[in-house]
Amino acid sequence: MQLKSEFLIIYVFGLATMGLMMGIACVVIPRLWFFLEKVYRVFVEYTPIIYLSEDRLSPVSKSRLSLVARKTLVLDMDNTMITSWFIKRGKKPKNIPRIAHDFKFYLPAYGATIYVYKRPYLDHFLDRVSKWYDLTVFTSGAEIYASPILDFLDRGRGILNSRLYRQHCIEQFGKWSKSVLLACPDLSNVVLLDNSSTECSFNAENAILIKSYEIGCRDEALINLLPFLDALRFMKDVRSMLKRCTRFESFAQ
Amino acid sequence: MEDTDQEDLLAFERRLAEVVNTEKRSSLRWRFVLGAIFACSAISACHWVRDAKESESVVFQILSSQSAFAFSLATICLLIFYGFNHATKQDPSILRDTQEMLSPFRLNIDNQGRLILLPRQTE
Repeated sequence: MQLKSEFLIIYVFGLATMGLMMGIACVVIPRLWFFLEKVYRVFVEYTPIIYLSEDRLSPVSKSRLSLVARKTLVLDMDNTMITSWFIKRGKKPKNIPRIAHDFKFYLPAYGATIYVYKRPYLDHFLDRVSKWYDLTVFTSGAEIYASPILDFLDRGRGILNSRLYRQHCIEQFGKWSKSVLLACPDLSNVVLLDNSSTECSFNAENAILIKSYEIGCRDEALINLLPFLDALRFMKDVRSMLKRCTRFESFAQ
Repeated sequence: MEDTDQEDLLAFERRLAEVVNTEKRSSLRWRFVLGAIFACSAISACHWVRDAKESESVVFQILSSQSAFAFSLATICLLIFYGFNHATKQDPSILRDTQEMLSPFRLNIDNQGRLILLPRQTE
């Protein structure tokens, strides 16, 4: 009888220990996985020697650069630089990405927590491009939503201070369009980088279309743009190049 | 084509060629480093294997006696960690990516970064 009760105690204690261990594992493993994923993303983002480590210019290019005006690069935010995920309070999220978010904040006006996912190589891209162009962010998102995200992306560097929001867009057929004249009145010196051809329709000759960023996909679109944007700043009129784009021909017709 | 357009495209091409050639030189340097380190590793690995066959001591003891192999192995690991495997193949990848980027503009580039104007597609 004594042996049986001792065995029972050991058995119950063993079960409790196993349960506790499994509970701890269930809590720790996802967090550890989350952390390791974040570390891996940082590693992937910063290890490749991606683009010219320093801006070496030949004397010819230097003199050319002094002849042309400094250009303005107008950047779209949603699906170009970041992708965000809204999770309403009290609602169970569906198909939430299984990737560590870069930034989250609560928006009382929407009653939702917003999870922000940066496009790969965004920091490197902004670092390089801010040396070549004056940057302006033009988003069709509301100011209360976009402003905290842009503050996070800027990281106090002061490169994303020029901002235009939904109130600066023009509504046509229920969709928002952007006029880059608000960012720079001289159309020969302004480039718009956007993922939506509708939003670019007013300034098709000044636009570069980039594919939309999908969370979790291997994406090198921003890195691939660097040589193009580097060469574009040497032109007197960016439209000499950008008007050649065939993607907007359906708009022209 | 207007004079301004032509001048602009020439300036664009010049910078693109500069970028491509700089990347080529950089990749060439990294390939040389890669070759040298691999040769060093291979030679010292042969010595290490020969020593390991003769002695019965622990792997790490042999590794500490073969400082050349340990050093070259550590260097390779460090370089791979810092992404030099990307740097050695940087020039073909930058060419491919730029060609992809230029295709909607009816343009292409050759291996030297010179622009090739493509005709407008007629349907």
